[in-house]
Amino acid sequence: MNAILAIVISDLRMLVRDRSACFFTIIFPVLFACFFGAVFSGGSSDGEAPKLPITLVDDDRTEASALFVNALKADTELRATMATSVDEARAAVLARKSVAFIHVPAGYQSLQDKLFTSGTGATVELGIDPSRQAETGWIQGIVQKIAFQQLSTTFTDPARSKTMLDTARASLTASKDINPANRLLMGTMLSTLETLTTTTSALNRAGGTQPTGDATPASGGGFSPVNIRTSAVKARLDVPDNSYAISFPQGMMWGLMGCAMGFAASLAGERTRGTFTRLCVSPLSPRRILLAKGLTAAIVSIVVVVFMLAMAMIVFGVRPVAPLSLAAGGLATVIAFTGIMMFAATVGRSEQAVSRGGWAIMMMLAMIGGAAVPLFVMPAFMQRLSHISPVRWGMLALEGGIWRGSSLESMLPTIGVLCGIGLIGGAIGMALIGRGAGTRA
Amino acid sequence: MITLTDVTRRFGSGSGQRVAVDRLSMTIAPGEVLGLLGPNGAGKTTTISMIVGLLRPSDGRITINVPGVAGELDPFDASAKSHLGIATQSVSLYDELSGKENLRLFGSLFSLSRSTLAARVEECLRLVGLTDRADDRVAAYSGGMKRRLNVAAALVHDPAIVLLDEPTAGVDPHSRHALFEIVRHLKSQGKTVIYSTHYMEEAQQLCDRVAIIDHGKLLALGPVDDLIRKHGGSSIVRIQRVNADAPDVTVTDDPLEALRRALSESERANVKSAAVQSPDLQAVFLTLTGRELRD
Ligand SMILES: Nc1ncnc2c1ncn2[C@@H]1O[C@H](COP(=O)(O)OP(=O)(O)O)[C@@H](O)[C@H]1O
Ligand SMILES: [Mg+2]
Repeated sequence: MNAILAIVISDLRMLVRDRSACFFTIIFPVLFACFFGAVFSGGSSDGEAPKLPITLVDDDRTEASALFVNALKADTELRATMATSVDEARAAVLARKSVAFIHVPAGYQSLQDKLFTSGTGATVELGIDPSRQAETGWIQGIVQKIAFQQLSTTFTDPARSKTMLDTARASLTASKDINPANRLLMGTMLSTLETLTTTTSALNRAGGTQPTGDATPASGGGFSPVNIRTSAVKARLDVPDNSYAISFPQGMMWGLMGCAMGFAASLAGERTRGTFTRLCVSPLSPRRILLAKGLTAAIVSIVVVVFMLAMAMIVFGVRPVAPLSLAAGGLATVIAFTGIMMFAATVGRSEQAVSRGGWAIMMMLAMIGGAAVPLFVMPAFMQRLSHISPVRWGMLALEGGIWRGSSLESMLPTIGVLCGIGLIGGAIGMALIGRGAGTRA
Repeated sequence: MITLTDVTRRFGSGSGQRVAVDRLSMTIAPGEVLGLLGPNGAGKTTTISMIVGLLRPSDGRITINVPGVAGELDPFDASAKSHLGIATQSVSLYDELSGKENLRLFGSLFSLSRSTLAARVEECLRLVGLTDRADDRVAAYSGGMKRRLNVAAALVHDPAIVLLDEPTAGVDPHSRHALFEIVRHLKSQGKTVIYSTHYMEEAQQLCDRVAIIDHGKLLALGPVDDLIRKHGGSSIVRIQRVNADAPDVTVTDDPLEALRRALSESERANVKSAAVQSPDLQAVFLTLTGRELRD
């Protein structure tokens, strides 16, 4: 164990002293992450408060529902787009084009018309990710505000209010289980309301002024003109608000690749320069030595990933949404790239072969794997092609923890693929090194 | 004691196969300095690689007995490794580490205590004369200094058997002298030393016995004097003629007669120089192979 430790410490010491290795394992990845994070953050940070993008579905298609939907559209805090079906709206939320959707179901108007007898209005559906608690509250507030505004507008429209009051009176007459005293009271109330609305509309027609409609629930004591039922929309593939949350996983991936290729090249170099042989004329078997090299690469990889994560969080305010998934996925990615390192180090004939050939292949895998152009903006065929790239799986694992919010279970296949890559790469490396590749005095 | 029994090593397969070491048998006694003498490609490095357990023989067997350790060790046993120290033919050191860090790394591969390791590192640095450059990076060392450190790396774990594979190749006279002194010091400590070289003078000066190898075969083995007596018999007469590139070489038991013929009335004008060499290892090699041993 002391021997392994000695190898690890010496390798770390040499890495720190080797400028080009340092560049590819840490400086380039950080520059990459900062640069592309800044490029894609593109000015959205300055000036006016961002509007919440939401999607609206109107299945009622009545005058009342149109009024409600248009009010939502006109709201200054929202940027609303229409969808023709709930499925379409849900898809928009899943794709994170919208933060939420609001569904006005069929029957909205008729339920609103019974508002006064039932004591409660229609129910609209708010579809939103449960993790977005702040946005949920915000949107609910807006919807309630608009509903109360609508209610007051209703009283300025004689036709609508007459329908409403007639409906109420009819149901009052029809219902048998209301005691006579209450029936009398409500009948009187409805008549008063009727008079009132006719009067105000007459006045409005004369004066041309509209009530400001700033009606807030006038101490409504639990009364609400519209009910909101929230339904959970788990956004699986979501796009982060912070562009650094995209660029930093990519930077980490470059760091992991730089680390794997750097160690592979230096180990291939050790085999040609004879220092590996020197390590082999010790009680350690070549396999143990390869493992020690793998351990060093893994340690450096973890340091790089943790360092970049800390930087993303502290400097750029990136908040990993699924820390546990990130830890597991990050570890699996490190395992995968350590295996790749052990494979490349033993297959490559020389330091040059590994650093040129290895990087050429790595670059290609990085391009199709989403380390340059993010996976979620790739066209479908590219996304399919990317399956062959270990980089893709690593990106999924890192993004899964940082912004996709993948649960640990949903990430298991990705983790499995990554560990598989690591084990196969490591096993090939072990087999080749054990056959005495490059061990000669 | 190291015993090689019919050790053969082949490389490649089919028609491209080449036999690097061909049924080599010998015994190396504890405390002796054995020279492996042969031209490039003779099989010296291959032999050494098999003795330290880096290469497996294709055929035959190598066993190692170390005083104080019961039983025979196979070079591939992990337990054999701590008794073996090798300075490889090509300098194999970490350029980015200092001399001291290199030695500490190689030493810590063997289970030495921290204090023993530190003491050994200091002693080896002193032995190869690098104490005052110990903290410099190896990248800044001269060729000779690297060679010396390369030898120190073989000694840091204090092995009973030391193998030096052409340690003086391309080295300045100062370092060469220092390396000779190191070998003598090792001998005085009772170490077994296997010293490969293609320089006869080195073999002649340093080694108790010399094994002459060519094309992977052991041609002769014995103390230098014995070899010369047995195989060096004839003297060598070299006649350089005026229009020739290389001298005519005659191996003869009667050098005077050869000279007389070369310098006869009719030939004399053609001769630029003439030399007679009494038998040495060069002559032994020439007798055994029909070729001169050259760099
Ligand atoms: N790994 C190898 N693969 C193929 N041929 C080899 C290998 N190692 C050595 N040889 C061949 O074996 C022969 C002996 O080589 P070597 O032991 O290095 O000789 P020396 O050390 O005496 O110069 C040479 O012909 C060399 O080309
Ligand atoms: Mg050699």
